[in-house]
Amino acid sequence: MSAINSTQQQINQKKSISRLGLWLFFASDAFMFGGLLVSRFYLLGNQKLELNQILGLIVTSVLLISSFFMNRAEVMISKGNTKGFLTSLVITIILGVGFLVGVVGLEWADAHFGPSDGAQGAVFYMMTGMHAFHVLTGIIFLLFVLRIGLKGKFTQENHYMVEASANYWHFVDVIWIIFYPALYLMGV
Amino acid sequence: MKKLDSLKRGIVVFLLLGVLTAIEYFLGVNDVPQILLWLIAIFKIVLVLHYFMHFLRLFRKDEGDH
Repeated sequence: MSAINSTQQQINQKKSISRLGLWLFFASDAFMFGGLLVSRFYLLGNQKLELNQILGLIVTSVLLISSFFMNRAEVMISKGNTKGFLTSLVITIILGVGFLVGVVGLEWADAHFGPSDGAQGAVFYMMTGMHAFHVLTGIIFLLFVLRIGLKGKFTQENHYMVEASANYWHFVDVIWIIFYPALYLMGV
Repeated sequence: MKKLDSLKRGIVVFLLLGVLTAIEYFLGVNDVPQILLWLIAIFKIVLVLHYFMHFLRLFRKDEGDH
């Protein structure tokens, strides 16, 4: 009995260290995004970018809904519902791809300026491009999780990879929560 | 909020985030002071950090997934 307790303690300790490492990564990544945010206000001041407001609201909503489904996927696996977990995960991935198409495919094509058209081009394409790159890596991470999930390797007790991927996905959402008003709504 | 089942809590948080995003949009297109947009964004971030990312779990010794 004590051997089982000791093993469980070791697993919990390993999980705590992994969580700390993940959050330290978030902190370091947040500094990079923070730099981009500061550059937006330093270079453009109170100037509002000429962007498609409806499209901005749609892609923001898509990412928000994807975050909800990612949370749902994590809750499902923690309750031992593998089918619900996989369904929610697939919906999250589809919505993530939808967000990418909305920003890179539609918003970039719709913008009245290019990446080399002064400060607003540099700021807009750098901020959305760096964020889209994180969304892309998040989708790849989620595809790995899906592959392992389809093999039935996640259980109610053992699913740290799901938790880590969910946190990464929510982190990407948190960045967009700040970037969306900074790019689309702030300024005159 | 703590008394809610984790699935229901996720729905409530999602609805809150949706309402705040809609408010943010209408404030933004009507050129209100930026401070309001910042406040809404910070509140949304706190909601995601607390309820979706379970930030406080980082400081807990016990497991407690949800």
